[in-house]
Amino acid sequence: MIDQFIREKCEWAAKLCKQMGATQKHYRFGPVRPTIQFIRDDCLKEYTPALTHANIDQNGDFTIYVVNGAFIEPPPTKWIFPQDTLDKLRQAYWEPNKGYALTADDAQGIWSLYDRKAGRALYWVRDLLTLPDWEFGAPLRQILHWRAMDTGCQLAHGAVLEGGILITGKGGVGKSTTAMGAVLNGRRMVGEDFVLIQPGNPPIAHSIYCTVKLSEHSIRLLPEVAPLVAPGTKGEKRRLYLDKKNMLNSVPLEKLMVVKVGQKNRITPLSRAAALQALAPSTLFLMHTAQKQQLKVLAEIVRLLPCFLLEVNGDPKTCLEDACAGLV
Amino acid sequence: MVTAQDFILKINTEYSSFERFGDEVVVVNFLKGKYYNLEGTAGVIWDLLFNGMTLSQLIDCLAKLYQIDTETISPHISSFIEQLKDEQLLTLAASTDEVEPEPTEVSSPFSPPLLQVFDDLQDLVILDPIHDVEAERGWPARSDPS
Repeated sequence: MIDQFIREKCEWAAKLCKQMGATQKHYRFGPVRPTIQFIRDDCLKEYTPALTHANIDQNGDFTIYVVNGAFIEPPPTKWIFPQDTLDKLRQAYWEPNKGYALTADDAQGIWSLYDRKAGRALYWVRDLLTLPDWEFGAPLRQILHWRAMDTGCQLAHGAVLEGGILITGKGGVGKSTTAMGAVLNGRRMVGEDFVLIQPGNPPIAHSIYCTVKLSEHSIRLLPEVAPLVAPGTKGEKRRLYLDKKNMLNSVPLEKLMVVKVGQKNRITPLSRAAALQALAPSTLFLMHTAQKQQLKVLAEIVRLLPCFLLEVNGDPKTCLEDACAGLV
Repeated sequence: MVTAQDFILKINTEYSSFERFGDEVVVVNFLKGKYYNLEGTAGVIWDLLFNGMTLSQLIDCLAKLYQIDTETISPHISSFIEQLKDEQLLTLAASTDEVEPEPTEVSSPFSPPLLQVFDDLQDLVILDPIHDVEAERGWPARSDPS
């Protein structure tokens, strides 16, 4: 029943986009190549800034339809999940053998549907105006997560910088600030929040979003970024979009660093168990499906990379370089 | 009569997954939105429970491995098992056949097993306050509270 539902809704979206002459754009995130069709310009305006750097001219190999339910409500259907889930606000479904997936977040009003065989996906929001701010910084990630898995890749929650440095750590510890500081100091960025990792030896990180999210405190530490903050961003963190010249599409990973505020800038070896604890749980809990497979892939990446604790203190523009200078 | 002691204790792999790195085991609990670290004796117990055994078999096995008497080791093991149960990391099955414990070498002396629990990411996992959905209207409509 859910498979049929996904198929029909994606088909509905495809017809709707054709009828309404949706604007389409093509992107490349490593091996993931979507064409995204936006029914309305408000969706185009809100979602594309995070993806601009990855825009290409060639058609993608699957299509994502983006629909704002405030203006276009799909035809109603019966509840498709088991009856005992009627009181649940969030649902997830993943059938990798048949190529169907769905997440429904009724709390935020976001439904993502994926039909691999038809090469279609639907991203439906109840109302663009009520979405949480962070959704615009990393849009469509459930769908990109499923497509990534179909190509043998994996989304990971962390920052990646030129030089193959994968930075992770607990929320609020300074990953974004450290990463942005490194960009201001001359390193290009692959991603600040989510990246796509292609397993291998070495694993390769591919860029998806050019968004950086910084707290007000971090912006005070890095005043150069203040003019870059996207107008109208709300929430605990401010959103800004890096220019293409500051972005790197892909990089082979060379080391994993877990950030922590310390007494001075330095890098010391870290156990792989501690590295996996820093990297995996947030990725798994944010993606909602295929979590066991994700843990295996992330564990293999941790096994391949040298792992370090990156203690930072002082000027975020120089702390990474200072710490790396001490790394033998 | 089957007592609690006769139940097979087994790692609940339906909602959790784990990876081992040497002496450390990292476990992720998808149901509760928590993750855990197990080292030393805790990791040995985790390995032994992967295929399942009763509590008394587990205590006997560990006593033999660490060369400590069962009276000394038993309270530590029982307490750790209760922790695992509280976190829904164990399932219980009725014991029917004799289960042959897997022999394990230990690389470090016995230490009271500890389950390090991390719950800083629980907010990211499904929180399900009750709301009403009209089954006939279905997705994506919620029922009108009025």
